[in-house]
Amino acid sequence: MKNIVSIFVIMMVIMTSSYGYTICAKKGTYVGVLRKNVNGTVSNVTNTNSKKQWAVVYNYKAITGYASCNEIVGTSVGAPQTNLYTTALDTGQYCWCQMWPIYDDDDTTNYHYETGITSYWVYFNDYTTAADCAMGCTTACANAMATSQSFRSAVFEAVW
Amino acid sequence: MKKLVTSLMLMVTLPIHATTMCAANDTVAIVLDPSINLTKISNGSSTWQVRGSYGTLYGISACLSTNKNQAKGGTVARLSDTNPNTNETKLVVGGEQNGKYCWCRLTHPALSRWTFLWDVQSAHGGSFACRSVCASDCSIYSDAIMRAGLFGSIGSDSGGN
Repeated sequence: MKNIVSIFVIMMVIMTSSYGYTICAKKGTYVGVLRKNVNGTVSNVTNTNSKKQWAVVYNYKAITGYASCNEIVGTSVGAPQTNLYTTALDTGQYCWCQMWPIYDDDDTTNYHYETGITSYWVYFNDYTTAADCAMGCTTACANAMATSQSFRSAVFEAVW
Repeated sequence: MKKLVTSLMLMVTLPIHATTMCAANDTVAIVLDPSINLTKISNGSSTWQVRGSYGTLYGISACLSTNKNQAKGGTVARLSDTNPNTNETKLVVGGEQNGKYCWCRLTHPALSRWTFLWDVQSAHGGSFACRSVCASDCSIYSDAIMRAGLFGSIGSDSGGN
């Protein structure tokens, strides 16, 4: 019976989300919805050696995440990596993107309507040098999440 | 409308990495219902896994020096704590061993706020150190109150205090 209730809730969410981001679920239930075919707008990119963060605002929620210029090469664009280590190896030429909530308690920012959903690291592309990656990867992640349906879909399907 | 409903009936359930998600052609949805019981899978020193009928959830834990005036299931947006040995106050990231108050946080498939579980010494009659049981407690004792705190604090516009 509980499964039936859950499925009903999910169906209601999807039905209503076809017409915008309207949550219809029983009270207390968390429902997170990601829309693959909805483009967004890059609202923020922070790109320093120690912090590579991006934020994209869609017409239903905002999504934030991190970028990494890693020494690990991905198998293909959009391929997820379950154990990408960034602390010691964030010095490479291979650009990876991850959806990760960056909660900000300042309500004036665009982060306010975060989905809260997390993903694996997803491979984006390779740059000629690590320096090039460091300069461009974060913006590339943001732009891809905003305008590339295929890459956005890959990230959304890498949720865990 | 009939066509829409029919297509929704055919939506695919994707058991990606053991987290149940439902997808229409263009939509991924995650549903976490606090009324559904969870069962412990395993825990590490500061990590825990539980399974519900909809999939596996992953979390982290911390033993802090304070309960921040929270009752069980209470959540805090930005949680800092002081290490009694160094007297340093830092943002809690998981794995802290600062005191007897056990805190839990869901990390996958969505990130919750830090949610207070209990005073380990009171809960276990003083027989266990927080560091030895907190992660396990987060998985075993995620009752409806805890689940409501964890699930209800996902997303930055979902409250917390």
